[in-house]
Amino acid sequence: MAAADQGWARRLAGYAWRYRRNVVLALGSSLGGMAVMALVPLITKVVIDDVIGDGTRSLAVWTGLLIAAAVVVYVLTYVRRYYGGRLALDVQHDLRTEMYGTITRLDGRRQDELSTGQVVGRATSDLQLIQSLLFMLPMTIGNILLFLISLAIMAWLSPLLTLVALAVAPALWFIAKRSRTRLFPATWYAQGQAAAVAGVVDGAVSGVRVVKGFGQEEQETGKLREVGRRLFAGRMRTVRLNSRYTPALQSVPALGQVAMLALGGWLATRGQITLGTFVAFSTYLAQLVGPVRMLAMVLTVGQQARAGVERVLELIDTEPSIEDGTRELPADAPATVEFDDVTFGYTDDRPVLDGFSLEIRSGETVAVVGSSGSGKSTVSLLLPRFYDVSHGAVLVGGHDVRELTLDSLRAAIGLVPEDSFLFSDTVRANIAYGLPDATDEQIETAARAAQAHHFISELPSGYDTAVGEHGLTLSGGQRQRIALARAILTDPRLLLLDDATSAVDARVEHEIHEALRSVMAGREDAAHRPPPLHPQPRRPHRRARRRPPRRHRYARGAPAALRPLPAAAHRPRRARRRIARTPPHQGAAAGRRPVRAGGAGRRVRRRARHHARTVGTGRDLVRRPGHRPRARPAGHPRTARPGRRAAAGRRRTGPSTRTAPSSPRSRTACAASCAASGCRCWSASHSSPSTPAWGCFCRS
Amino acid sequence: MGLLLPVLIRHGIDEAVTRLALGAVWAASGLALLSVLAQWVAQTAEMRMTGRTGERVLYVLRLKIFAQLQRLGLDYYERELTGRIMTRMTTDVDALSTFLQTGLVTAFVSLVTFFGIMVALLVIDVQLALVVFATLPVLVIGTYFFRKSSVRAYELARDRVSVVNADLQESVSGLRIVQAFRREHTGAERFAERSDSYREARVRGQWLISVYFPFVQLLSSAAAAAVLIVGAGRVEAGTLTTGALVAYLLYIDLFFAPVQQLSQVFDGYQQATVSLRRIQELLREPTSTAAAERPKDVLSLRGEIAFEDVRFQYGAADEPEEALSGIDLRIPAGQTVAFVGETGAGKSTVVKLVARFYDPTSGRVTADGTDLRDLDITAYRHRLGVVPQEAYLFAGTVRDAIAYGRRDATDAEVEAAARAVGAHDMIATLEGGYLHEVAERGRNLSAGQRQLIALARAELVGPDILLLDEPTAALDLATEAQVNQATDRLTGRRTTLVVAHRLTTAARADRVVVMDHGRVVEDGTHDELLALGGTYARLWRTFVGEDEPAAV
Repeated sequence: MAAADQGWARRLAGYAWRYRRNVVLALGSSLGGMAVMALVPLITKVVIDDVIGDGTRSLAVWTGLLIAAAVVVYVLTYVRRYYGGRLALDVQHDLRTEMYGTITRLDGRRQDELSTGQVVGRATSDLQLIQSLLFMLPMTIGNILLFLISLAIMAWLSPLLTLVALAVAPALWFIAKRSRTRLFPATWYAQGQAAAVAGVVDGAVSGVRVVKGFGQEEQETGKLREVGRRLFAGRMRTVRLNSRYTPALQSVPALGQVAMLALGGWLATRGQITLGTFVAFSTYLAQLVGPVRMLAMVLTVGQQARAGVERVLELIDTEPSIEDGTRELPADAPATVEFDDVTFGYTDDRPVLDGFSLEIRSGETVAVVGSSGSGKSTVSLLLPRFYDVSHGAVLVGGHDVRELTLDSLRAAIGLVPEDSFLFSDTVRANIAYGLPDATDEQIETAARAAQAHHFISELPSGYDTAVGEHGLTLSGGQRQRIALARAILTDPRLLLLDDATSAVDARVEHEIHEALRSVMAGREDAAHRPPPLHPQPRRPHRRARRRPPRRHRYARGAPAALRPLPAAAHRPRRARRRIARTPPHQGAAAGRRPVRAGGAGRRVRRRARHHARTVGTGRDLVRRPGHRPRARPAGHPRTARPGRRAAAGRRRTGPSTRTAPSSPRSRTACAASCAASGCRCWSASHSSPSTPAWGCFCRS
Repeated sequence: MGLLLPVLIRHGIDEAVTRLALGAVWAASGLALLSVLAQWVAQTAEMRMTGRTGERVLYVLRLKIFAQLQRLGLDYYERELTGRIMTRMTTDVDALSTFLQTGLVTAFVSLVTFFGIMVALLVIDVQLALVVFATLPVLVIGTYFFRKSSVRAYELARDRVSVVNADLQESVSGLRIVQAFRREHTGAERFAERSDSYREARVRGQWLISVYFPFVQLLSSAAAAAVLIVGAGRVEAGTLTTGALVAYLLYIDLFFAPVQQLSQVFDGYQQATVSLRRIQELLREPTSTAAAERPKDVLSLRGEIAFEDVRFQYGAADEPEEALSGIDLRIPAGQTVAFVGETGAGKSTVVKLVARFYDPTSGRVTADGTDLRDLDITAYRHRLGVVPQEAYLFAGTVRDAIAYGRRDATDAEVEAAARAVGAHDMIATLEGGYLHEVAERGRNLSAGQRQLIALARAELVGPDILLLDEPTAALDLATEAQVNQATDRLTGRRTTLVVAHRLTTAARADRVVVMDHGRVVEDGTHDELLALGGTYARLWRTFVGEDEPAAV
């Protein structure tokens, strides 16, 4: 315990020592001020006894001294308060910023151990505690000095009276200590109940639709009544304890004064002490009350602050469990991704990915499909190296991600997360989050690509509209589109969509994917909800047909993973839904085995790939996915639609022919010239967003 | 009050000391002892009294505010931020509590002490009292300016610290994004900047405190010195006793504290009035869905819903666009209707009106032919099953979460409901199964898991009308299949209104209503609408992949 005590105290002292000037000034002035204060009653004594009593000393000199002492005390107290306060605030600032730094360095595993509420709690209440402790500390040290000097002078003035005074100190100490041990848990409990009340209110407010929808207002009021009652009981307990100890703490010194009055008066009548001594004594006694009470308080605060310091330091000391790599991802590295026999689990006993292998070539769009908990999101978390695999390797551009610097790796990846988290800032700032110095034009281009420009322009202040906490003033679909624009703007080589268009309606989703197809030329793209709108069942085989036979790749434990699949075969209605399932034989018939990853029996994985097609001029070498052919798997219930077939035929014959991106032109000019030839205008390259190259995209 | 006595006694004793009368010393000591003990008892009693009364008031106030929150319509919640509503219940109530419990008492004690000492000083010696009072204007003026600027500094610091905390909170919840977009450095810089500006504000406040509090001490020392100087002459002249002078010096120590305390109390009073005003505002907030005068109880419903020329607009009447402009719709009992349309077309509004989260601006919504406004709102909602788009779960066990709409359900009923919607297998995989602890808002479950539980929750109440806001939107494909299957079973026998974001959902419904700009533009079965070749057919074609709209 002693060692631990020293540990936190020393660490804290270390932080304080960074501000030596403040420490020295605060401590020095505190000690000096208290020393002077300890002498003041002596002056009063002299004035009463010698100046007024016998007139042996000069009134001017001694009252002058009294005033001088008061001024000195004033200055020193000012210095102590000011620099002591600064010290506390400086240390608080340092701890807070260090905490922030540590948090942003934490990897996925450490993040999982963290809850937002806890962190913010630490930052507010714990730092506040530390601050108040640091603030009180110089004063306390000064007070101890005051206490000792007062005691010495008192003993010198009258040993007998000192004994009386000292009798008060232990009593005070005892009461303060008792009140601390009894009061602290009571306060703690009451605070916990207050938090519980807040919890119930928070639940009822954020879940108001559910409460009202089920007509459960009664239930919620009941819950509140119950926690409110417990809070009342808890508070009443602290009130009772307070009413017992606080008056006692105030009355005991008063009792000491009464005792001293009796004893001192008695001694004075017998001429053993002078009147001045008597007055000085009672002043000292009054002066002692403060320090003793303060000491008791510092002990209480110290206990809490200690817990606070330890919690804050614990957070600051948290080391990320992954180490940054050393090599930069070369700028010309191919945008390929490979998962090589990857095993990973959030906890050691439950692997989420087990022997997962997947190879994605440059320019491919891959949809990762599977049931809840099958590890789809995990795949998207391993790529930017939020977690490290426990076995196998993840390679980007042929480099193991563990060798690459996080900075260069993440610069190459555009992530659109499942929850499409936005910061409470303007729309513009949110889109430009990954590229803070982006021009308005770039931002708008990205927003257009994500089909967000239209609704953003309709917002009250357009791009300058603030989106509110977590972006909640926007609808889910709008948030997702902004998150998408944010990723597009950074011009990533790999685009990771984690179910990123789930809340967008069908038409818009379709447009997004149309736009993405052009934006993401030459980039990898992984999405839960496979990019295009077309009902999913068909896509895998469509792609499969196009693929040359490949190495037989079965992940461990795959057969079990297929359980949910065959349902499609005998339930035609369900097949319409967007569930990617390929009865294995179809894939095999197509000359390719679909790849399934997974072990724990719930994993389904499909690969969908198509060849990249290279077009471009000059240094803007653009890879762009060829158009998906429309092959209809035989026997599919919704195959026979004349319109479709025609479209499919059209598509198959003509992937894309387009004019090579020429020198930058305005989008409108491009649109006009392309429209003339019945084509669409699109931005050919985002590799140099400042000089977008426009081109026409035509379907022959 | 009690504070006065010891010092008054000392005045007596000093006379005794100078006259060497021991009896007076004992008498004074006895009196002093009595006064101290009396004060002790009085203080204890007073603390208990004010504490109890204060807590009672707060308890009642909390319940009252909460009950009012429960009465308020959804519009209030959509207008106000959660954080703000929470502040009413926590910070505001606490400010009131602090003022009631400590502020009032402190104010009383300070005032009495202050005037008591004032009287005592005057009684002992008028001339000396004037010397002491001469310092008062300085103190009052100093205190006024200190309060004024310190309140400003304090408010500034409070604003800035909330910015700092919000930044931290956001950075933690969006940590993945911060990292993925490599904003750790700029983020840290901005955070340090914000933290620094908070520090600055606090240092400024600290400076004010450092100047003011020692200043009060200085004043009291100055007053003491002045009293000594004047008093010394008076003692010499024989117009003042030494004891009186001593008593004076002791009084001066006590004299200045109440002024400081009073200014603090005043601060608390100001905060309390602001809080009280906010709480009053909340309590006076009219509910937008007022209860009927003679509400009709609802035991069960056939489930026939009708909209009769319903118009609705959110917010104030000067809002430019109506969310619904003249909806006429009749949904026979047992039918499943899907509402399709773009964001803002009004499909969610329709469902909200049926749940009576809002009342129509004009026209009426009826269930089984009765205007919803005439029904007992709680009883009516007990007959509803609501599945919101983002499944909200309350903290507790999975079992509690499912039984939310029917607290008295047995374990068997809960399990049956879970099985009915296909949630049972998922729950079985959770640690602890039905006793698995659900974190606040169900954060520790995946979106799919939450949605399944929300469906089971709706199933358990056995609703006559089911309102679904596209529960499948956030589900992965396999779970979606499960949920769809369950939904089919759930909806088959009930009137169901589905807000469909995905056309597959619409395709499975008995009837599809296509909405646009607050109007019904198409209405019919999936096949009818396809044959019609209108909006829906176009949407459907886009959906299934005949993508001519995007090709141009």
